[in-house]
Parts: sequence; C-alpha cells; structure tokens
Amino acid sequence: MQFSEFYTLLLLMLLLFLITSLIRTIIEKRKVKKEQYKTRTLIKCAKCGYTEERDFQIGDYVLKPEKECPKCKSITRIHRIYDVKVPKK
Amino acid sequence: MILIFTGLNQRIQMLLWVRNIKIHLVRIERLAKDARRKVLDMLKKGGIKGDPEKFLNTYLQFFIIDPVKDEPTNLMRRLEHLLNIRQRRFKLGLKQVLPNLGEFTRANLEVMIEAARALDIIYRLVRHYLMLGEKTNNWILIMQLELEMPQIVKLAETYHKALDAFKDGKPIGDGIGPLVAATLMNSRGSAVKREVVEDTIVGVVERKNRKLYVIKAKGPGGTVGKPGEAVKKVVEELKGKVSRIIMIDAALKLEGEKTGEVIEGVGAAIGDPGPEKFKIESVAMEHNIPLDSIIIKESLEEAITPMRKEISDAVEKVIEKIDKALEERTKEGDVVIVVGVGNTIGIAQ
Repeated sequence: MQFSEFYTLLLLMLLLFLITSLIRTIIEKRKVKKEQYKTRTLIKCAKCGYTEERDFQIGDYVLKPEKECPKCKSITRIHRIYDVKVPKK
Repeated sequence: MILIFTGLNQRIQMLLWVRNIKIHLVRIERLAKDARRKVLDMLKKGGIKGDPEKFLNTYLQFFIIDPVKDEPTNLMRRLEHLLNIRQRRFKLGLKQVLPNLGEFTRANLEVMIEAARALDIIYRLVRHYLMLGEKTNNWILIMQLELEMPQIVKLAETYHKALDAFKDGKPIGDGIGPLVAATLMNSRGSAVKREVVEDTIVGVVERKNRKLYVIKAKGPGGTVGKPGEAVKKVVEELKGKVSRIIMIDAALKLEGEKTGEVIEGVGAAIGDPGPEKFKIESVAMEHNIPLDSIIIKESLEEAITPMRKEISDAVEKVIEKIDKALEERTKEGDVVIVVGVGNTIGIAQ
C-alpha cells in the first residue's frame, strides 16, 4: 500500500466516523423530546370546599386571599400552585 | 499501527473531545449570559440606584472563605458567623440600591442572583479546565471533562430553568416542607403566628389534642429562614418540655425512584451547610427530645424548578404521617415541634 493510499483510507475512515456520530446525535436529540410544563393555581374555599383551577398569574402565592366563593360567599384562598405536564400534540 | 505507535490516535481523540466540550461550553455560556440578562432586567425594573452591571459583577463573584477545619473548636459557630455576614451583606447591598422594592420581591431577587452566580461559576470552571487541559496537553483532564459534560450541561439548564420560577415567585419543589407547615398552620383556622427569629415564623396550633409549634421560613419571598435557631429558641422558651421534633424536608431521590414518595426516618432532615442542623441536633440531644424526619423524594431539577403536582400532592400524605406519629409516639396534651424545612418562595403562612 502506498503512503497516499493509506492517508486516503484514513481520511475516509475519519469522515465515516464523523458522519455516523452526527447521525447518532440527531437521532438521540429526537428521542429526548423535552416535556413541557404549565403552572396552574388551585383556589379553594376553606369553608365549603369549593375549588377552582386557573393558569398561574404573576403575584400569586399560596394562601393569598382571592375572590368571594360563588357558593358560600366567604373569601377563597390560593390552596396550591403546581406544574402540570402539557399533553403532547 | 502507525497511529498507535506515533500516539496520533490519542491526539485525534483529544481533538474530538475538545471540539465536543467547546460545543457544550458555548451552550453553558449562552445560559449564563441569559441568566445575567434576566437579573439585570429585574434590577432595572426595580429601579436600581447606580450602575446595575457594576452591582451584579460585585455579587456574581462574591466569595466566602471556609473557616479552618484543622482546629474544630467552635467550627459551626465560626461558619455560622461567616454565613450570617454574607447574608447580611447581600441583603443590605440590595436594600441600598433598591430601597423602594418590596421585601419579598427583594428576597426573590436575592435567590435569582444566587442562581445566576451558580451558572457563572459552572461556566468559568468548565472553561478553566478545558483551557488547562489544552495548555498542558492533559488528555485525562479533557477526557474527564468530556465524560462529565452531559451532567454539567443538565445542571446548568436546571439553574437556568430555576431562574424563571424565582422571577415569577412560583413555589419550587424544595418548598414542600414550608407548604406542609403552612397547611398545618391553617388547617384549623389560622394559628397564632410570630416571627421567632429573623425570617422564620412559628405558629401554634392544636391537633389531635396536642399542641403543635409549627416552624417555617417567612414567605412568600424566597428564603429558607433559620429553622435551627428557631427550634433552639422555641425549645428554650418551653424549658425543654417538648415531646418530639418532627422535621419535613425535600430529599434527593435516586434515579428510578418515584417523585413525591414520602418516607420516614430519624435525625435532622435539613440540607444546610451545617450550623442549622448542628443546632437542632444539639438542642434535641441536650433535652433528650426524639427527632423524627419525614422526607419527600425529588430530583435536583424538581427541587429548584416550579413545584410539580406529584410533589404538591404529597402534602396530604405527609400530614397523615404526622397524625400517625402524634397518635403513636406522643400523648394527649404533649407539645410537639413540627419544622417545614426549605425555600418558602411563593408560600405564605
């Protein structure tokens, strides 16, 4: 085998390695699709147990007094704030 | 064969590793710069007095020198002293440049700076080891860095995600302890509450005919308070007449374990640098008070990003375990201290 042939072979091998590693990276990236989350706020009336869920708004915090309860007219409070998974379309 | 004998194969491998690390480093740099931009935006929005860039630069590379460990006398007290100085310096610095910003928003900003600082350190450290490896041709250093890169990038991404939660004041996974405490404080109407030590609240509530002293950090701003100091003060106020101390905290789960799983054990469940844990252990030992702990499993990412529903749903399970502990391990009329450990961002009392 001549010297130039050897280097051509080496270059081809290197090129093959680079292409396969690139394909592997793309496939792995596609596999690991990041999960999406949405923050929700759960409002609860401590008196009658009425609950309502809505999207999180800036300024929300747990135990923050909210609107009047539509059932018993007492003041509701934010009971929980949590992230829920957004279903994949 | 020629490659092996000349060592060229190692060179090629090293070049590939360096190229890969550089790709990841660019991503980390982008995250660190974005974090910096977000903090600067918040500082500007809060009406900062003076140059925001200069202010942020001072705190991004702010350091704390560990106390001497070879001489263990008063080690925890020396460490606590240094941590207190650092905390006061941060608080005072923010108060001076943002006097009109609310207390809780300022606390959230403080946590945001901490997250941006963590990202900045990650970026500078990776860059340092990469440059050092290249400079000294140390392929072992480069190889180690390359193998660690996926985890380092994940950590950087986690801190970056956490920034948004801190910016919006959303409760984070680590806040499960304070959330349980807040629920207990408000389960039978509102408990009598007071700030027992700086940034830490104690509420007294009756449950199962026992008197519960519930301790948590003062919310809804982002702070962990001083639960150790608070427990010590409450026990001393009660002259040691406490039947049990129950601690609730988030704990890191192992890969494959379920998020939000609630388990029990003994000991002080708190992940501070040492002083707070030391105080709880010392006061419990001094007065012979049994120390129970309940932990909620979650990953590091889940602990510093907005609280997932599975973690939030654990509150009821934890309260069930507390009730069971009260019934089985204490008598009616006993005094019990319950401590909700963690960052109380987005959770009031």
